[in-house]
Amino acid sequence: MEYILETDNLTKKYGNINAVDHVSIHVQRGEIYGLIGRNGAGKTTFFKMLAGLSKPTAGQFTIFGEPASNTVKLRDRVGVLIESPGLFNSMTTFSNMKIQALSLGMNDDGYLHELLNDVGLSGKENVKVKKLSMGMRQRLGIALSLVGRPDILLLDEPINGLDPQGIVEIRELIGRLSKERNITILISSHILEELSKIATRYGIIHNGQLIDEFTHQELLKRCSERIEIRPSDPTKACTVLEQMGITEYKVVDQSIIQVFERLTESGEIVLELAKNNIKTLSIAVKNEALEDYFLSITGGAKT
Amino acid sequence: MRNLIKMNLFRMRKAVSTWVLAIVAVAIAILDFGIMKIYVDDPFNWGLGEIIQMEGGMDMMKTITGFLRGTDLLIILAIFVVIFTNAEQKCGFDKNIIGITKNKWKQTLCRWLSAMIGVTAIMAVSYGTFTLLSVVFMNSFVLGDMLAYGKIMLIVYLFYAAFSAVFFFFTTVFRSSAGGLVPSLLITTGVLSLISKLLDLGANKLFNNPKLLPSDFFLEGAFSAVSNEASNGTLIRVVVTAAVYIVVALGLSMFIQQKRDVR
Repeated sequence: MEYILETDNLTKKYGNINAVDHVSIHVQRGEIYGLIGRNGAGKTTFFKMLAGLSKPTAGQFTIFGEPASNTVKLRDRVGVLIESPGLFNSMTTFSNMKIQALSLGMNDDGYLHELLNDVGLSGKENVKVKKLSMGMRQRLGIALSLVGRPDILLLDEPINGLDPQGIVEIRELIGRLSKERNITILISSHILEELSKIATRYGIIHNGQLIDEFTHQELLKRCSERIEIRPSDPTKACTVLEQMGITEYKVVDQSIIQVFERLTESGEIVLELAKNNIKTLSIAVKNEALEDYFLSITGGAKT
Repeated sequence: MRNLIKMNLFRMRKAVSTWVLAIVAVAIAILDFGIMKIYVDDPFNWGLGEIIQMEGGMDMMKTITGFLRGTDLLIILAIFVVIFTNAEQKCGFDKNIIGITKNKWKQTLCRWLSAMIGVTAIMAVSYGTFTLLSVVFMNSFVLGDMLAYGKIMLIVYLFYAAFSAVFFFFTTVFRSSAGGLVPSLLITTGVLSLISKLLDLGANKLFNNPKLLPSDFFLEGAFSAVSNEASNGTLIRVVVTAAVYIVVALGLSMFIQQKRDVR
């Protein structure tokens, strides 16, 4: 499996607080990896370390298989949009693009116009940034991150503060970039619902820790119908489930077992557990929305 | 590094503040020339014009170095350096580019070098305006010793570089325009010279040596000693002082930027 970006126990401490705590993610070429976490979960700090803006306290990461310390030459292959786009408001859209291009040693104005066209800002070249809408500024930020013809894009909360129309535009743009330019994208958000429409793989970050990593198919499965059992002895209950031929299950919080198959056989499961002297404290068939699923694994109120 | 300097110069050229400050620098040159003209013509019989008179007419060196050594232009340069060097961090643009290089100190150095190009340009525009007005409107203008004039001009320029490095250092440390401007303006307006004078008094009392003057090693104190009448020893001292300020202020700025995370 070729991973274009891998982190190994990446950690960032501020005093005694672990902003990012031993996070290991694996991003394959061409993927759109969605990093989901509530505000303050550590997403931006994590992105800053990957972008070379912040030094990890511990751990390491590789880009294109090269350790971060050796990837200086590769850094222009990584496009970055961290939080809000860094733009010179009193300058025009094109001047901002030009500044980014010059810093990378590029002098191809035609390509810059092409990029502006790609992000839907054609005709806005001479408009001052302060006159652009929030969505346009965000698209300009993405255009800036594309100037170096990157293979990886790090997009931190690109839909933050956008209206529904703006969110749709950015989502379509990201999907298009992934398909047409074959760019691997690492995108963060606190809205799982939104990321689920574009991401192919997910990581859930909570209190600085990566608490889960799964594919889009797995997400759909997890949010689909399931039986939730709270047995008196979860470990023994798992053995019983396996004896019954049930393999698609997951233990949550060391006390709840979620079963994703044979959803009409809850009665048989209870009976089989009882035969093995395991009490069923509760059992229910559940079906969760994406946001509810996210909240259930991060264990908190909506942000 | 060349790319970063080219980028910074493009940014400088496109920034409105650069042009506004250049215009203000020209206005200051015109204003200072006007004041000098009043002194020379002396309609109120103040007798101040004699200071810059020499046999045969006006002393060009005294006139122009006097203008360049004034605090007016220095204040403009302080504002320029702080605004220009803080712009990327203020709008967050540094996040787009700082990861490009492993050595963040190189970006810091490039930013200061670019700022110095701007400082040189603003200084040249202001100096040019003042010189042009002096040549056109003063009846008798004596060039004097051009070699000595060139030497003093170089030292004055070195001090502009030293002041710029110090302004840049404050901006880097405080990561804000206000944080950079307040100490920079305190220096340029001479407020801090009160402290250096107090240090002089303290040192005199402590070591009983009237020649021991810490203010000589303060940047503004050393700058005030720059003149064509200063001894070689004094000029060497002030040159070394300015050079040390450049190295220390720039070195610390690069070190801080290298070690610090980008916000």
